[in-house]
Amino acid sequence: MGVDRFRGTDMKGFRQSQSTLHTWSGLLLGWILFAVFVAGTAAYWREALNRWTRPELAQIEQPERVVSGAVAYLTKRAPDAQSWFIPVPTTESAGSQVFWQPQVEKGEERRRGRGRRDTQALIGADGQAVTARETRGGDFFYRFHFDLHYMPVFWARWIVGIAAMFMLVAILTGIVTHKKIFRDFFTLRRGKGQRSWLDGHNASAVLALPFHLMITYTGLVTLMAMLMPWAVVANYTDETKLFAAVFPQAPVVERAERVVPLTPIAPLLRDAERELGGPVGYVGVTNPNDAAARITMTRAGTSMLSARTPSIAYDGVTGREVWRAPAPDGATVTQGAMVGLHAGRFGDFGIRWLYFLCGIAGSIMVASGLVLWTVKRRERLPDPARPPFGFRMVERLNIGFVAGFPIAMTLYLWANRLLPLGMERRADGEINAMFVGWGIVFAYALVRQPNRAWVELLGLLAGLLLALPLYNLVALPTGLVATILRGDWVLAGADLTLAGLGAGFAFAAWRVHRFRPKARRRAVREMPVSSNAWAPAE
Amino acid sequence: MTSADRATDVRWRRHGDNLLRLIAAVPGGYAVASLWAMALARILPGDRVAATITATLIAFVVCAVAVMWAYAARSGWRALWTLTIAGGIGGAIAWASIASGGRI
Amino acid sequence: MILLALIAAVAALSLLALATDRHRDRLRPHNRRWLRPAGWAMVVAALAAAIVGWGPVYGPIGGIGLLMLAAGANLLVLNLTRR
Repeated sequence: MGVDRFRGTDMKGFRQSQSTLHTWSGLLLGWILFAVFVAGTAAYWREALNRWTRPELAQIEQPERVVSGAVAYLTKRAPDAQSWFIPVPTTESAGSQVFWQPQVEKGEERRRGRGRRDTQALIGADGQAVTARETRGGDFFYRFHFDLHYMPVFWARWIVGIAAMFMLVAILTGIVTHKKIFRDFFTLRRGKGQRSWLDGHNASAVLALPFHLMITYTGLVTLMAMLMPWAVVANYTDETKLFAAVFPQAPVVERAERVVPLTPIAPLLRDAERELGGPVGYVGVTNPNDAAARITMTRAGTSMLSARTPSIAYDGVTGREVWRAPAPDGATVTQGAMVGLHAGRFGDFGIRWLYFLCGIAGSIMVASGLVLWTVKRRERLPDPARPPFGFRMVERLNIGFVAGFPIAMTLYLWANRLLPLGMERRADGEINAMFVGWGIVFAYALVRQPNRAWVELLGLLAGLLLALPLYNLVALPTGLVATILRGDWVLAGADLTLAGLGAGFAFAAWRVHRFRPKARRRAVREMPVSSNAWAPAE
Repeated sequence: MTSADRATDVRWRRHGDNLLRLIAAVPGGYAVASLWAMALARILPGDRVAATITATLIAFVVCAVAVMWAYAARSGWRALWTLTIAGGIGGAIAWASIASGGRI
Repeated sequence: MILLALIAAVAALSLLALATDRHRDRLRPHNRRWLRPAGWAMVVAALAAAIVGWGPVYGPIGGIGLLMLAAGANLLVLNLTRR
């Protein structure tokens, strides 16, 4: 064939092929990716939203008081449970969401399913079980971004996992497609139609490129047991041996059937913090109030990079240390660090904001990519009055997701405010309100003329977001003025962020409203075969 | 053959090429990554846990690269047979290692 | 030290930006072949300062974060102050 290997045609052909792959791997699952990205970005403020959605709760000042209160509550409520689980809160948490596993009667099957309502409770700042409105708070957005909703988690995680792989391919091909990545990155042309959208897409993508690469790859890593189990299959006939090595547990002890009071937890917390090298995040008690009781303390995920935090177990009666998790090997630490990087729990306020901004950049990257696809093709439509079905579908899906999903999330927050407090299954009600609302918005996007739909829905989103802190101000004791005066920057920050996002979307709606496409300066001519609209500037 | 027939012929050939690339990329890429995850898990040095985890971490990169290769290759057929060979080598290494025992 | 890292990061991305075709008109005419290597050198300096300031684990993370922030700042300033 006589093709010049690494210059000229072959490199251009390679870039062209990767550019096409980039478009399709980004577009086909782009809408799901957008929802995952936006929900995941919101999930960085999970604890803040947990507090924001429960305005009845007081701010936590002494986490240790919450833990002792939790133990007292569980001693009264479930003294002979099989095990108790007590998360140790921080001053930013809503409280300690404790749960317990009741004794299994002989012959009765163990009740499965986490989070059963009658075996969990929220312990508040004063150590008492709280009566806040029933809601899933910020935890819902976190769960949604990999478990989705209304479907078994197995399917959801496979869908999200495949989408993540498509995204990884999109990012890698996006990088490879550039001939001059720096020039493309630093170029922002305004008012130039498709070129401006391309610049915006490039900017949001390359700006936070380290983050996007990291978050996508580590996202796959968090699901790796399910997505890529074959290495385990090759090496183990019994996979529990691997899990025992990666997630070491204290040896199980049989219940002694002798009632003995539990040793006080507070001194153990301090001892564990010293031995583990960081604050305790999790307290587990097996066989409470029994002679064979065990207390396991696990280091907080917020205090180190790796998500595989070490544990230490104490005898529940004497308080003596009986077991310590063995030091993990390099590969386990590496994998744990990747999960930790994805979750971003290790970071302080500054890092948390960095992750949030990068997540917004990523959401803009996906959204601008989706819109760019339609903008590019609209400029090449042979008959603009009757675009082909595929084009129209992408256009409507873009509106339904890019405008619609953030509206849905805001409706969830509104449902949290407006649904009656005593409502049956209120937490599910908030979520259903979110999806019903999304469905209505989506239907609207399908029938309304796209230009108008964009302006109206972005405007609606802006209004809904801006109204939330206003509602808090007039209807709740946790309005912006009160929280700032109290120095409660978690809640104040949440309200300010909602307002800021609202302002941003209002600006976007205004820009779309003012947009007047330049009159088509050329009659539609035969597009040259080698034209490559993905070629960098000029 | 008229020029219209030739145009149709070209279009079908392009569809066929795209289909081959799609097969090479999606089930093919995953298969190559999985087979090499097994191979690497068997042959990487270090203890079993480390090799298993490292092999899995590498497999995701292999999958992405395989997908990119499926579209960079000069033709759909080339994409398919090169990836088949790549997967086959990984599979053969894994099978040989498992058959000779030692880890499982 | 963190401040040094931030300054180095901003300088790094400025140099890399000014080395591109689009923004080279910002500087007086000169031989611009040193801009890109200087930019990369500043990237290394920024990362090194971050590692010194934040330790070997959080240093690279924070350093990359500062570089991303610096990229954003340069992008906005250089493009929105044109014309």
